[in-house]
Amino acid sequence: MKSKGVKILALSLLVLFNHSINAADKGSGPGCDPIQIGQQGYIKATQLSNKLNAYLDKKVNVNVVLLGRAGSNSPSKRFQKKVSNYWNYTHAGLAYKNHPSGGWTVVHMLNDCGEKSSIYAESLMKFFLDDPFEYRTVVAIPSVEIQQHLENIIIKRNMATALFNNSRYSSVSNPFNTQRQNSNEYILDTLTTALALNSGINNIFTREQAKDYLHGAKLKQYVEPEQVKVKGLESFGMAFGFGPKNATLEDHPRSERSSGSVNMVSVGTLIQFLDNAGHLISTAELALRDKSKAQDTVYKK
Amino acid sequence: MQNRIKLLLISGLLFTSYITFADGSKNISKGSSQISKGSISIGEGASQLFSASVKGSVNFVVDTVELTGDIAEVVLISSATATAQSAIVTVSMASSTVASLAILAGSVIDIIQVNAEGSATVLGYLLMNQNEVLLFVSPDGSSLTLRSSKL
Repeated sequence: MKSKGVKILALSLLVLFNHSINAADKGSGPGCDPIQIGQQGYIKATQLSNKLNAYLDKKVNVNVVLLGRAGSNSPSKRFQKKVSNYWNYTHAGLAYKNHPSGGWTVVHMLNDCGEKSSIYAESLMKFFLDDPFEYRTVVAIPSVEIQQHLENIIIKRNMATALFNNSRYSSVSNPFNTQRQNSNEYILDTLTTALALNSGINNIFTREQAKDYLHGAKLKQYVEPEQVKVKGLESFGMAFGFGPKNATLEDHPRSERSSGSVNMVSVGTLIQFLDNAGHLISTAELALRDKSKAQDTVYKK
Repeated sequence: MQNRIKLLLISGLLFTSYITFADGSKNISKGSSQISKGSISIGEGASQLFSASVKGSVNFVVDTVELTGDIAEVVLISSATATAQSAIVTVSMASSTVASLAILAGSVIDIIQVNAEGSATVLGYLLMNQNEVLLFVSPDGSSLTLRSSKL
């Protein structure tokens, strides 16, 4: 009788937990298994990048922008703080008009598999060819001086990989230490380095130094992390090594883990960071009329 | 105690899913990620076929594959016999791309014209084989490419 009760409890947890995880990652695809983009995905990525390219080309004296894409369906129950109007964009990159690759080029971090990630320089079309949950994007234009510093850091100094520094990936990385790094924290570290340059500090060469500067120059006050709800069972499972391959809570303080809510950087956090620091000129959202997810993506296991 | 272990194991299995709160997976299959370098020339007859097609999709057969050094030129002819003479599409690309995608003479390829949203402006063409995208080719001078390099 007791055993039957445990089975029912376990099955209930299975149903509940699967539902919650699917809601969190639907649309972004698993990190280790390849996916095959279908005709719809190509057409939508082509159309959205064309729309974005036309928008950017109309902007005078804009050479660097922050881009966000809606990679996965961030459930409102998971993202508790909902930082800025753009809280539900899940992945950010910085796009450079004068990148040596030619044309607008997005420099961003992608999770290869598990805790491994890399920095990529990609065209706008490639940026959207990653099976997003919705075909929409947010464009945030930093101040002219921050744009110039970003160009200096990434193009002239070629520091894109230094600010990554072979970090270990976690999709819920703690923004305030260097144990782990996710794609949005990578952008935060890049923006922090640009802010340092703007204050005349030009001896930051790694993400560790960028993080030290964030704390030392009191830029932390401008960072409004997203708070992600982590259920007790998930936290428990991760502690025993049963967690997902690309997420860990080990870099978060015990207080966050026990409260069931951990800090991470969202696209909303990044835009708010620029705004709080007084370096945001404008934001815009662009979307396809039919922004819905492509239905013909094949997920290969 | 046994029940606790069972519960722990079951919960463990549940956690093997992926959480992608901050997503950005590099998981595009290799076959389709290496495309887009090349150029395309659409014959007049082929252009008419695209215009007449409801979905912008036209069926072609690979007529010739010519390799000259690093460059490959693939000539495709519409499988509609009535327009065979002028319905030609020529795609130039790297020889390595032709080899990796196994584009062979006699292969049946669907070419889909991609237009800008709500517009007749042509953004590019998708070459498809058995519902799988082989290649995206944009017109000369287009900024729409599939550039990607690991830094």
